Amino acid sequence: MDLNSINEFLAAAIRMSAPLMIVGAGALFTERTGVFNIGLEGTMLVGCMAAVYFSLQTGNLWLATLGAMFVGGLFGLVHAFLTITRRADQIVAGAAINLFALGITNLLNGPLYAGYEYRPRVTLYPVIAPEALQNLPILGPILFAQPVIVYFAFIIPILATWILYRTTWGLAIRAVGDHPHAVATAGLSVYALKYIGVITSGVFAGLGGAALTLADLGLFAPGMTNGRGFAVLAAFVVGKWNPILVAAACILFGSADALQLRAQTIQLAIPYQVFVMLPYLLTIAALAGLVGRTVGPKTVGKPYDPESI
Amino acid sequence: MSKSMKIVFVLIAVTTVILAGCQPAAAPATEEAAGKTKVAAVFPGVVTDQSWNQFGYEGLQKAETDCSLETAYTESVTQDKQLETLRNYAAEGYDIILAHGGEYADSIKTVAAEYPDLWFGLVNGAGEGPNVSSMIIGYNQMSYLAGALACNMTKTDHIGFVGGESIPVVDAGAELYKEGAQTCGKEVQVDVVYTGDWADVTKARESGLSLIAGGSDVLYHILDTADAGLIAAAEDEGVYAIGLYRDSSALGPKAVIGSAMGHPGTMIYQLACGKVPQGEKTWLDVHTPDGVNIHMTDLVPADIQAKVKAIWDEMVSGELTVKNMGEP
Repeated sequence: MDLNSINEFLAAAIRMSAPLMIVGAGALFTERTGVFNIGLEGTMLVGCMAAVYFSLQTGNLWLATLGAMFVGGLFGLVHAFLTITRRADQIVAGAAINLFALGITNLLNGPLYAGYEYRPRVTLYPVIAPEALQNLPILGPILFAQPVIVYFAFIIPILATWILYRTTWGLAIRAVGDHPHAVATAGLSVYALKYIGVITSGVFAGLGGAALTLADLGLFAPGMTNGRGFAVLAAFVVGKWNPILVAAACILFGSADALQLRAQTIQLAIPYQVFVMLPYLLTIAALAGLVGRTVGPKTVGKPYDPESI
Repeated sequence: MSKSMKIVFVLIAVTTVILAGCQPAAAPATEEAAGKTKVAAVFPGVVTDQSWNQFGYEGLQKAETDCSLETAYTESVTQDKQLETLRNYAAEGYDIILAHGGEYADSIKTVAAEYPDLWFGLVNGAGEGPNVSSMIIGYNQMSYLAGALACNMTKTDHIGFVGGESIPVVDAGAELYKEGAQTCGKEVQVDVVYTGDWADVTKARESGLSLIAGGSDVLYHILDTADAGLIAAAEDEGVYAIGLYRDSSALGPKAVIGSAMGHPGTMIYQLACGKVPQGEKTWLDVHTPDGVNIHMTDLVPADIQAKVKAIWDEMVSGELTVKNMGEP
């Protein structure tokens, strides 16, 4: 591998990781408040469609981004209502959201592109760094030659760390997942914190969908998320619910994907399927305790009932 | 049942209704339609996918007018729903029941045996049974022609192929693309990448970019709705692409030099209109009306267009036979 192909691989790895990093950072907030959201896959898919829809309608990239976040937030709100207010099983509610998202996007794919013989490509996120920075070795392709949404993919996990560990509000979010009754005793609303957490995960899953469609593709295809939302759930286990480590796990997953596509063309001794398996092998290893102890928030999966102690 | 469980059940019920809403019957039986041949078709995906399923659906619609049929269809008929849906159409008295994809081969075989008086048709798979007609898309001829075009247009003597999954028909396409690429008097290197998914546009685009980085300057594919991603990669990087099934030039006006034509709708059209005798397995090839062909855009110089067309002519006349990877 020469320098050019290394640069090219690094750029692809980050491109493919960015949507996962955004979804992952947002999803930490729901997990930390003790609510599983396996509906992220479906939420991301509707985010993809919403981004393209709003872009086709308004022609404005940023309105399209906000639209995707809004629709993602709505899906988060539905999940929050089901699991927090109605105390429904979090896995069942999430699965229902995934099925619903798949059905609704299949149904609306026709109307979305009605009147177009071919899918047109919508406006993409611009690359804003000056040429000189883009040509830097290693850092150039990773950071500067990327569309602007990639900056957000790096900034959001850092911001999430700061919020979770440096603000009192973040302390409350973390406490809700571990000791909700203690938070209630302190006079804070457990429900409100959980609602905010779940809706945040939806908003960022929507933004992740926008990152997937508007970074370099500019179009929607039914089922295009292809398990990326589930990959994020695996990244939590590997990243031990820590924003920076989760982002790192997402980069690892994205890199494995970029690598397997390249491994098929260069004659490597290792079959490319090994790289396809790699993220999941790591997840299994993490669950088996091989990369240190992995403990999620204590009450995750359990509905909060103020009357039970 | 707790209140929360009820809510979940209601949500699941709503989901089911909406999913069911994706599967409309095109034309409910009416009195006026009596006397017309009744044809039903099942599709593995949604008929608005701008690819395999939509093309098949368009073929069915064309057959409805041309052969004055009464048609119905069900979309998103996945593995678990195959038998149930096919039996349902058989019980409702449809004369011809079609399945749009090789994955239906086993289900068609089963249901055709249960209803020996009805006529079944299988698109892109080998049907079994005296009352089953099947037609298989000639990826071999299409890919050979695409390879010949790529050979003439590559400047780096290095071209790429992206497949959805490594299955026999697609492997055959890759193989014949390689053979076609050695027909212009130079040795051309061919790289092959499988994405593992027919609809993942991002992976298709990334596969294209990795092939381009590896030196390929003409990309061809066997993908479904993910084709837009691959052609976008070629368009963005300033290399050439060859489309599949129909003229794909609108997906990348600067990139698409041609398309390997062989419309999935032609197969369903032939089967719906009863042009393939019962028990017979045929190819969608250069001899089929509206069959395999190569479409070339203005990006291809006239002399190269003539060269590639000559190969198609040789296929038609029978001078040139390309391997049939697995008999139908």
